This record gives sequence, C-alpha cells and structure tokens, in this order.
Amino acid sequence: MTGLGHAVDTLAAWLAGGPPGWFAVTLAVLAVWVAPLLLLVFPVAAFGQILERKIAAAIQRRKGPNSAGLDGPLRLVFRAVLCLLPRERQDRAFAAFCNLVPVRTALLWSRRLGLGQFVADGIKMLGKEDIVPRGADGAVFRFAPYLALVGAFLPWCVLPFAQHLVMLETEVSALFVLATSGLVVVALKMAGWGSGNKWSLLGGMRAVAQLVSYEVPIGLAVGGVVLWCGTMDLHAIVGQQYAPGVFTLLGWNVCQGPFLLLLLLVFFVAGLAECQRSPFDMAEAESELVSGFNTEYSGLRWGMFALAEYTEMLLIGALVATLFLGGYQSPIGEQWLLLLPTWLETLLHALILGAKTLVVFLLMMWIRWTLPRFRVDQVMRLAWLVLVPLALLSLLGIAVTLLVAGGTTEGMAYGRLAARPRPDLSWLPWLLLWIVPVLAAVVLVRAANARYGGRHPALRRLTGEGA
Amino acid sequence: MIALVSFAASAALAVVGALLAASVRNLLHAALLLGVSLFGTAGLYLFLGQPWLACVQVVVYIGGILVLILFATLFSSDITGSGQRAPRALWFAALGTALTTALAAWRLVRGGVEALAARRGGEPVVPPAVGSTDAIGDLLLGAWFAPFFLAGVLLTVALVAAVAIVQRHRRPEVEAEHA
Repeated sequence: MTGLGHAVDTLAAWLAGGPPGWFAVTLAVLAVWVAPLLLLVFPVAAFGQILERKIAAAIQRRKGPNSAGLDGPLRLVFRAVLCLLPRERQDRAFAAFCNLVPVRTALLWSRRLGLGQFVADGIKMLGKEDIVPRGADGAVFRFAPYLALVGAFLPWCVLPFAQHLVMLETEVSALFVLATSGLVVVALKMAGWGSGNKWSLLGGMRAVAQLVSYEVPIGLAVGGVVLWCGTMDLHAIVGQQYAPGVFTLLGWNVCQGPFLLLLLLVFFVAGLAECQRSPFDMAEAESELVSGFNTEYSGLRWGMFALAEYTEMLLIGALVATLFLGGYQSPIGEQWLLLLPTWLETLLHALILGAKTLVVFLLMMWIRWTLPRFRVDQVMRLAWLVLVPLALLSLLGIAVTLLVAGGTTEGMAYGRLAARPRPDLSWLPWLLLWIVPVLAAVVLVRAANARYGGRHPALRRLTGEGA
Repeated sequence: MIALVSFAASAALAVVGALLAASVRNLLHAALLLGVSLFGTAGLYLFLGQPWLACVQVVVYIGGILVLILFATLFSSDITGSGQRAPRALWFAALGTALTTALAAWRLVRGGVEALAARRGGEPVVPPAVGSTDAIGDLLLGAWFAPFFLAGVLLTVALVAAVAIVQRHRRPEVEAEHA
C-alpha cells in the first residue's frame, strides 16, 4: 500500500518545501485522502436523494418535488461572494444575473424539476435537534453513525476511476473492499443496542443477521472473479477485461461464459441486500419496527446513516461495473480512447464508470419502488438456499472452465498495466460454454414443469406459498 | 513521518483498546473495545508491509468473530455488569494470561535478537516477496496445500451442514404455518 503514502509524502514535502512538519502532513492527508472522497461522493449521494424521489414519483404516476428551485441557493452564493457590497447592490446584481436568458431558463427548469429540494432537505436536517434518549448507551449511540460512514466511504479508496486515477493501488484491493465494508455490520449493531429501544434492537439484530448472511454470496462472487482473473487487484481486473477491436465489451467478464453472468446476478442481488434497500429493508420496516435501528436518531446523525446507505448503493454499482462490466473502459472502441491526451482520457473514463454506476443505481431504485418487502425468513432463505448454492455452482463452473480452457495466453497490455495471462478461450469452446448450460437449464426447467405442473415446489417454498 | 504517526496510532489503538477491553464492566463495551484493539493490530500489519494479512484480520476478526461475540453478548443476563464482582477464578486466568504473554514476549525478543544478529552477517531478515499475494498463494497451494485444502473442505461442509440442519428443523413448522 505504498501508492497513497507516497502521494501524501510527496505532497507534504512540496507544501513544506523541505522535511514536512505535522501541519503539512495533515494538510496532505486531507488533500490526498479525504477531500477527493467527499467532493466525489457527497454531491452524488445528495443528488441521489432527489433522483430517488423523482423516480418514485414517476413510477407511482405523481409529480414528486416540483416547486423548490435553485434560486434560493444561488442567491445565498451571491450574498456570500459579494458580502462586502451593500445589500441593494447584491440584490441588483443577482436580479441582473437571473435575467440572462440561459440562467433564467435553467432556473425555471430547476423549479419545475424541484432540483432545489435537496438543499432545503439538507438545511432542515442540519437544523434538527440532536437527541440522545435517556436510556441510551451514550458513547455507543453517538459513535455508530460515524462508523457506518467510515465503512461506506473507505472502500472507495481502492476503486480505479480511470487509468491514472486510483487513490490507493494495492494488490489486495478486492479483499480491502470486503474488509472495510464489513465495518457497517458493527455500526448497525452499535446503533441497535445503543439506542436503548426495543424496536431499534430488533431492527439492528435483523440488519446484522441479513448483512452477515449476504456477505457470504458477495464474498463467493468476488472470489469467482478473482479466480477467473487470477488477481485480487481491482485495477488489474479492469485491465484484464480489455479486448482490442471495435467491440471492446466482448472482453468484459460478464461476456466470459454463463457462470460469470450468474455471479453478476448473485452479486447484484446480494449487494441490494447489503445496502438494506427494499425489497430487503425488513431491518427498518416502518410498518413493523417504526424505523428499525435508526428509530431514535435525529438530525445529522440520522443523515449520516442515510448518506451511508446512498454511498453503499453507489459502491455496489461501481463494484458491479468494475468486476463484471469492464470498469472504466468504454464498451466500444476502447483502444482509440487510449490515444487521447491523458486528461481527456481520464475524464472520459471517469464519466464512463459514472454512467455504468448510474445504470445500476437506477435499477436499484426501480426495484425498490416496484417490489414489496420480503419477510425475515424469506430473506434468509434467499441468501442460503438460492444465492449461496448458485455462487458455489458458478465457482465450480469457473474452475472447470479454467481447467478445460487448458493453459493461458498472454493477455493484452492495457495502457500502463502490464499484460496478464488470461484463460485461453478460442471461439468454439466459448460458444459451447454458452450453449450447453443454457440448453441444460431449459431442459431441466421444462422437465420440472412437466413433472410438477406449473411451479416447482422449491420456488413455491421460497415464496412461502402453501405446498 | 507519516509512517511514524500511523505506527503510533495503530500501536496505541491495539494496546489501549486491549487494556480497556479487559477493564471495563459493561460486556458490550468490552466487546467493542476488543474490536478497536483488533483494528489497531490490522494497522500494525499494514505498517509491517503486509496488506493481505491486515485485510484478512479485519474480515475475519472484526467482520466475523467480533460480530459473533456481540451476538453472544446480547444473550448475557447482565450486560451492564452492575453489582458484579470479579470471581476469584479470574485471578488464576489473569496469572495464566500473564505467563503466556511473558513467554510469547520472550520468544519474540529472542527472535528479534537472532534476526538482528543474522542481518549483521549480511543475510536479509525477511525474504522480499513474503507479503505479496502471489507468494502467499504459492505457499498455500504448495507447501501448505494439505492443511489449506482440509480447512477449505471443513468450512464448506460446515456451511452446507448449517443450512441442512436449519432446513430439517424448519420444514415441518413452515408447512404447518402455511397449510
């Protein structure tokens, strides 16, 4: 893990113009580590909230937020910038600025779309009283939201955003993501117990049971990709998905046979459960448990849990993209992207990763506003009886594929990443790999349907219908 | 500089967390402080240039064992530890722990002295590739294949068995519930 330390040291030495003191080191750590994370994730997560409300409204055929525009926040910015001028001149400048045609149109649309709503929500949240209930375990109660945020933000340190935009390059980054996101489990447990409230405790227990269960399929899915790529370095995994030619997406992991596609599904469903999103939100089921582990939280501490949830949703999206969808690589014509100047290439790569993340993010919202909530036992059954066996099956399939593929070919060098050996799949076995399991699955399903007439008993058990 | 700061912070977390975990009365606080200590240990591994070990430490001990301990703690009848005095047997436990720690410390110091002596002879103390995932993978699938394989089989069997046991107990209930 020398990359980040090196960046910090270099920056600190540059700031101090010599051997750095503690002040320069602190500044460097803030600049290298904390500020980019906050700059990147905070606005996106805040905006995710307004996006969610608009999407919920669209699905339920409502309008959603439709009056709060960006005029107010813009006026505040004007006042802050022109704070030395008298109030009338500030207002005149603001009115003149708002009268410019593009500005006026933009503000009109911001009002129509309710884009200023998240600013109002944020200010309301900041203004709320921070309440600690009388029976609460003060220190545990207060510290839990911070730990949840740490667990949600730390994994971003190792994600490759572009070829030259990786904050922390280490050969164990996949393991690092699993390790740090596990801290959220402890945070939820602390929140549940520290609140001194039985609803919170029940919600916390449910949340922890769910998170621990779904970490198994997530770990197995990541393990499958690691097995396929032969490395735990997320950046190397991205580099290995590079294929030359027009259709770069043929090199993506998701196109490497049905087992990796299956792993993608397992990872996505388990990731949905890891974020405690509906239909897996039984830990904060408002009709049963008031609000679960965050019942007693108010103001900014509640906001931290909400922010952690959105950050984790984005993280799952970015991980799906990184592990299965080629990371920051373009689906078409990646090789020409590499010819661009570095800054443009970095920008485009980061935008492509953002677009892929957004697609998964939108999918999660669509699911939330479409499906009803699972029961506790259904959640557990889905994890242990469906996802874990599927993940184990895919692991076995990947191992067999690697054996059958027989040896490895030198992969393509991608940008500054060295060529890594990749499984040798010429087109015929590759095709067979797709067709044989799909045919087998179709035959099996048809046979089962013919035998049981309609739905398989395992499916019925899963949904809890009477036998 | 930053290395020194991170080492001091990790060491302080590990030692202070362990001391507090052993001395607070509230069981749940003790478990959480144990987590702090384990986190500090992971930091020490990082400092020693073993990122793989640090990540595994967090995955296994904080994500797994600590959560298990927290679950077990919640089944205790007296979490806050109010009005409880340490039983006398605890002194024997303390004595045993102190002896073990002293033995381990002695072994460590002796190992360190030997390593220093070896370095004076021009030998590298630690082989350079020892921390890389490649080296660890080679070791696990080479020299240590049999124990690694057995542990893997054992864990998989335990995983499947846990599901099977729960299924056997649950099925009649569920069917009765939904009949």
